[in-house]
Amino acid sequence: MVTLGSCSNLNEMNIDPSRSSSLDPNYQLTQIQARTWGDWILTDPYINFLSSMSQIMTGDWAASNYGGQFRVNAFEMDKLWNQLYGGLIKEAVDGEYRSRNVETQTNVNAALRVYKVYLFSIITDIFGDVPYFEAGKGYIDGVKYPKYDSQKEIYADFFKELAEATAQFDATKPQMTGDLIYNGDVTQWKHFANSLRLRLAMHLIKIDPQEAAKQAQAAIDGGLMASVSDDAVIDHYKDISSRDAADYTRNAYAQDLSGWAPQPSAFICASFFNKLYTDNIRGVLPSDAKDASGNFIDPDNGPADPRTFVYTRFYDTNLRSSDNNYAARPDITDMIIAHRAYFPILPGHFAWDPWTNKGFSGDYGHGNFYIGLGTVPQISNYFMNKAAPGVILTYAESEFLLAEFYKRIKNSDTDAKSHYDAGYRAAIKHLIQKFKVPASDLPDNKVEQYLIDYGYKPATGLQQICEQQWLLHIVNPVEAFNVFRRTGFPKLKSPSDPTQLSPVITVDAQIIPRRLCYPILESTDNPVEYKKALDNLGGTNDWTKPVWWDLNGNNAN
Amino acid sequence: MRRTQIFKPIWLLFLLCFIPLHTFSQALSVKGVVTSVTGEVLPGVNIIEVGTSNGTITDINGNFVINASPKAVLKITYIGYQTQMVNVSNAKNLRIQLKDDTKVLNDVVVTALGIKREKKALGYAVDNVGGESLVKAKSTNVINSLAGSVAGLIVNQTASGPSGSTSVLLRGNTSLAGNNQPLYVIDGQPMDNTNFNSAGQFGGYDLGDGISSISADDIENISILKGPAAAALYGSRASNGVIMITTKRADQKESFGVEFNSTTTIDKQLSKFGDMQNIYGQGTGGQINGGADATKDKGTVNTSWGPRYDSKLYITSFDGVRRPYTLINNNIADFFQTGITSNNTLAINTSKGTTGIRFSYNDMRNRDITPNSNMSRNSFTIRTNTKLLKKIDIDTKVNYIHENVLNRPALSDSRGTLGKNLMSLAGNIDQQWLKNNNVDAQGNYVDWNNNDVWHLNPYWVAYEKKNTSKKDRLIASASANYTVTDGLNFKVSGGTDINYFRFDDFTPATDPEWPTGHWKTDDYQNKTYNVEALLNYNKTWNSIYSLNANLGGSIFSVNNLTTSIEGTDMKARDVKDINGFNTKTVVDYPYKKEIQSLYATANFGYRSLAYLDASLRVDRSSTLPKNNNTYFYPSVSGSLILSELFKMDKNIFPFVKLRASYAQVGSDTDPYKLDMYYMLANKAIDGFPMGGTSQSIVPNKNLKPTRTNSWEMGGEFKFIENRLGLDVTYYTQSSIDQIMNINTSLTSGYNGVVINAGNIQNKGFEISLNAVPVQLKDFRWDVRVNFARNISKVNKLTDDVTNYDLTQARWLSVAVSATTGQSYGIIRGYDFKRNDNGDILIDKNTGLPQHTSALAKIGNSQWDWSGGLTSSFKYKNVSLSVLFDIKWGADLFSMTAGSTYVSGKNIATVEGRDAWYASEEQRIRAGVSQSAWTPTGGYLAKGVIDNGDGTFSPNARYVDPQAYWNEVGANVSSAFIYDNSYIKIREINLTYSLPQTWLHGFIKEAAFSLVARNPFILYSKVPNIDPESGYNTSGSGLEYGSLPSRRNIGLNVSVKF
Repeated sequence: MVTLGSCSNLNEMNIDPSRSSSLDPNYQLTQIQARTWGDWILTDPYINFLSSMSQIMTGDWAASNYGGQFRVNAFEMDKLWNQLYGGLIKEAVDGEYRSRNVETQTNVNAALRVYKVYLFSIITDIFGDVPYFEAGKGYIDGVKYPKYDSQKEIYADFFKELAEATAQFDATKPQMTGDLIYNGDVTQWKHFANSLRLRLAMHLIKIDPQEAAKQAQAAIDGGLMASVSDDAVIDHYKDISSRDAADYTRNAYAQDLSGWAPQPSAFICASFFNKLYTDNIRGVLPSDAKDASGNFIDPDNGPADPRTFVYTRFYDTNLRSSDNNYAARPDITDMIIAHRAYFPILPGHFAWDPWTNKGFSGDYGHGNFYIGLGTVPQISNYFMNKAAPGVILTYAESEFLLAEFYKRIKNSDTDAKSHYDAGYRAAIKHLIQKFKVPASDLPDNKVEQYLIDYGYKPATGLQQICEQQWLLHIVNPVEAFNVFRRTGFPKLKSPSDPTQLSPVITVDAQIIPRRLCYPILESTDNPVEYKKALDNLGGTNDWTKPVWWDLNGNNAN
Repeated sequence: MRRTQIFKPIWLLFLLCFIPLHTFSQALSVKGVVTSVTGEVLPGVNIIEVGTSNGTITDINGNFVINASPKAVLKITYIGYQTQMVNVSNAKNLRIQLKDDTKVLNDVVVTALGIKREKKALGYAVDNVGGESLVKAKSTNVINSLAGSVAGLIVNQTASGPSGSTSVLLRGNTSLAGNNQPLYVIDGQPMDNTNFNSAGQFGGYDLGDGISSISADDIENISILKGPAAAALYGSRASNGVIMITTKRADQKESFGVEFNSTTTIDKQLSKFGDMQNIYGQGTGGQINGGADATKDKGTVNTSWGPRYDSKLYITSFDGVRRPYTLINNNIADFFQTGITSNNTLAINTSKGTTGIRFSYNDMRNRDITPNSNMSRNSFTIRTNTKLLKKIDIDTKVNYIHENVLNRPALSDSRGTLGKNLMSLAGNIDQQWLKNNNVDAQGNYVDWNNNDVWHLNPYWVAYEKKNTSKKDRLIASASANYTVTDGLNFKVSGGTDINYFRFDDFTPATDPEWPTGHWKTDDYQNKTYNVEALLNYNKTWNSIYSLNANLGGSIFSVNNLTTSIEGTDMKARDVKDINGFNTKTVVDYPYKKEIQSLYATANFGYRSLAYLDASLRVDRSSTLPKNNNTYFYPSVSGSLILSELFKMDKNIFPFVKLRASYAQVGSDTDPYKLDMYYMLANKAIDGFPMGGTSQSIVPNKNLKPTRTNSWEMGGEFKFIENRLGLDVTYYTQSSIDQIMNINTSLTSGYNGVVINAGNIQNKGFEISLNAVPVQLKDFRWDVRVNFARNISKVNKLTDDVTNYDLTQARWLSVAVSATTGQSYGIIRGYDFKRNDNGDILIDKNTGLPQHTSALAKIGNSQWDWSGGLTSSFKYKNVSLSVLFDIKWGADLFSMTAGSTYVSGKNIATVEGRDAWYASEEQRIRAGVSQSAWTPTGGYLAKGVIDNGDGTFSPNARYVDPQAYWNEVGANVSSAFIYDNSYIKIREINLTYSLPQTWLHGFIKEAAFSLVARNPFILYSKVPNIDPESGYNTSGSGLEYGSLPSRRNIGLNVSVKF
């Protein structure tokens, strides 16, 4: 019957002509680097949870509702896990696998190994025991239900991988083509790998000081980042807005901060603002320098840190631009400074809570206006610029980690101080070079004066080093949260702590959570392994339970 | 064959011969007696003088007397017997013998491959819907007209409006992955029913389906082949049943005829946002700013947590106008306008000798109830049939359809979803204010709510954002049937369905979601081809044994290409086209597959009392791996006419039949599921190309075809001289080796892996009952009732997996799932946490209810049973028919309801507000922090506090009602589950046919009808929205941001020349 024999080749028909069977792994490296800060779904939990639990940001709905008042919300929380495992880690594992032992891809393979460690470190530091050895291998090895590995084993493999990858970089081999960070410079990659090794080593400083010392020393011996030009940042983003989940060409965290309105509401938390300014600043009104309780202290000698009004600015909330341009908001910082009218939002509060919002009437050239939310410090436009770099690891951090290493392990305040100072200067240069802050806004004399007035002191050195890391990580909430947890500095209190100035009710935790919850889908899609992981956590998916290296638990030291 | 007449319209021929005659002659008193062929006298027989309203009825002895013109034609009608026309011809005494209505007993139905067969010979259930029932109260999508009219056929519209698609389900869901919609076959050629796109949990548009563009006036008949046995011959594509549409061809009895059918309806809002409080207006925490500065109150326009309405309070709106803070009645409803739908068809019929041509033109226009949205459809059909060389029948058809839609509604959680944007608007704000202020002088979006992207100005959505669809579709087919010898036919046929569809979605710059503008074009070029050859052999021996055998083969291929073009960064603001955009990306999505098939069938008949059918089909599909791509499906069925076999008394049991069948069908899958692919990303970053894996599902080189095994048993009974008919079917079917994406842990890098697994069982029964309860001289009452119950069970997924999410909701982690041991499509979510007593546990610190942290069953998305009832009355020239549709026992997760609570609009959110605000005032006056204060009033969540020692005390901690509903709205999915059962009147037709006496030769028939489609919802438990408000056709049980449904009431005119 009908000419069955003459038909087209059925098997050929089933090959998709529009897609590739073997894509250059360099393109995967580019994609995962771009996605690190360019994937808005991935960065959403940074503002919703990590940044607010680290008390860098608070006051807008997302920050206060979730991380500010400790509300578990699986949909928002799971995004981090889903995007990393379903996206970045998947590509890293696949690209690394396909470039393995390919002569021409030695360097891109080494870079993928390093980057893979970085990506997995985000996952394990936030969640604890997670799938590692079998993760991302659904196609490669057919692993459908990866087992959860202990954080201890994962860290051991991190160090092994970083050591091997560092050795694998070879300038004589073909250069990688898809590198957004160093444009293929293998020397800089080695510096990055070693500084990453130092960071991860210092994560273990409490749980395993010997191993931490050993790995830190190996990292130092291998050669750390040496200048701000070694900063590992993704600096290829464009200042565009896009809600396209597959658009990785703008800094999505900056987009989260600038929001969608012409009037962003990315408020800096009082904890963070006060640390920059000096301690214990709640708010000061021109006519009301101190309140009855005595908690409001006018910092006559503030601001302490020259970064204070670089990190934070005051923007008018009345006038707004017609073209949805955050940058066009009137900057009223000078007037607010003149009036000393700073009202950073206390942890867990919403900016519009009537009892948190104080204002006054003032004129900054547009007539007399009531300044309400304008008295609340916001993160500055430098960080809302969607072309701003995405920070992975900086020379400044590397120096602060070295300072901590010398303080804790070598007991050398001299070395600690010199690295502390180098770290601070690098943090300033980082802002100038990477975030395009005018050098005139951060003049050397103010920086040096700060190092004199508020400089390293042996008695408080450790706290200073750790708090400098926290202040450095203003737009790197993962590491800010890590620093807070592993060092206990800064000494943050739960928003519901009765000794807070104005405690708020928190919902799903009373202490600051120590991790994020495992995604609920794991309970149905990976039930056996999920249950084991929960058992190790004490039986419930409890976000107040610390991860392995977090010995501080809830007891800040 | 035998004594029966296959050609059912044969009596029409008689009718047509005599209609033009019209006399005014002297009346004559005509007497007569009516008997059956076997001589029994027939009482109650209707006798009508054709062309008049003059008529009578026979008495108990079958006698009648009528005064009629000497040249009159009498029309003799009686249930269960063939209608007869009798020429009076001056005769005064008539003896009329009525033949058994073989049409009723020996209904001819169109079965698979377009083979016409006597219904009584079939071993499986087939339902028929005549085209005439589709053409009065027309729907914009013809398939909607079947809702409620066929047992076991679930037709569910979505919230996507007149241009949207419709979910059709036969005998439950058989498939875990993908499509459960039946196959549509038009005149023997499979139709492309692609739903080009539908909305998902995050939003989207419903771009309509293939069946929607078929004009109802072209349809002669729809055959519904429900079970796999009926459909086995269609192979892979038929595992969800087949809907076979036979279109009209030229009427060979008329040399020339013209038909005109016109329906115009006025469309109004059917469901309304009810359930709303009218005490508190916009604001939060019981406060508004209320100052002269509009910016201060912008943030709360979609929250109704403000103070009580008070004409002494003033609030400055976003437009700068200071208005009293008072309730505005119907502040939302006036957004919707009165729609209008007109549907006109002109058909011309001409025939000469053995050649006939039918041409039809249909014009459908709809203006929807949402502003600035409309659609139009034009359909041209030419059908010709002719005979060559006395042995070859040629039948060709060309159908061209052009469709335009302006502004399909955005659905679900799209930014532009109108229902969502309107429903939470505070009661003191009139939507009308938004109308005049949606753009400024430069055409820029006017911020009215702090540029909240989730609540765009609905008038901006309606007038500035714009989406257009254009469809050009060509359905063509041709067949040639060569009669080799008597009983042996060879037929070759071919068809194509070429569907070009383009969807442009434009968002101007300054839109809060896309500040720099956005353009998206999806260009679909879908082509399906089907070629078949069939050898048919028919033979009867001694009027005892009969054989009908077929041997055939076919090639079916699909060649689709979808091109997706996206523009971002709008630079030329006046160019509302992709060319106005600075950045453009283009991606192609090909889809090609082919199925090659061979099949054979044989039907044996013994006298007219026993039949046995067997068929075997083999398919080879391009989508399966080489070693697994060929698969067989067998089917066997039989029927036994007990009334013949046991010579039952015709007056009591005119017809009794039993039937049974077994079949196995297989099905393939979509292309490209066997291999791993990578793809470059749409956009490079700073000149660096990006790329990666292009699939989230692990491919599988060892896929096998899916199998569905089915059994079916049934009976057909007619009683009381055929005035009561009953058809009962019991079926059971299980689908195994499903090709489905089984979830894997996302930590594997993939959402799932495509495998063969699963075992889903559906069993149930279908009952249809037809009755003529009253039959008088001028009055007749017909009732048709149908009922279907389907029970599904997920017997197994895989060894490792016991749950599979079919679809997920946008909020509250709700999913519709297949879970081992449960029925298909349970709704899973979070519930209140309760103690053993069932009391809700309240957190003692917060006063808020606790919720479960593991997903559990909170509802069921599938109907327990469905039914329909059609009641029609005919009195002389007036007829009235009403169609009821009942769906029972499913649940709906209404996110619309959820947001009425969270936004403070729901009536239930009123409780505790005043007391809470008083408590807060006291606290602030006392200068005490929140956590140190014990509220003196507010909302008291119902529940208990765990004392930690096994005892519980009643909750006594007041909370802010806003906090309570925020908490429940964010965490307790079960709070927004509603019983989705409904009873609707689908259709009402009141028709007046002009008496023939009024017409003259030129007009042959004319009728006027008042028609109504979806006029009333008689029963529904879902607040605010129509229970039929799903946002796509694949997952029921979820709803969000639904627009009101529509009620259509209008007029139908039908004239035949």
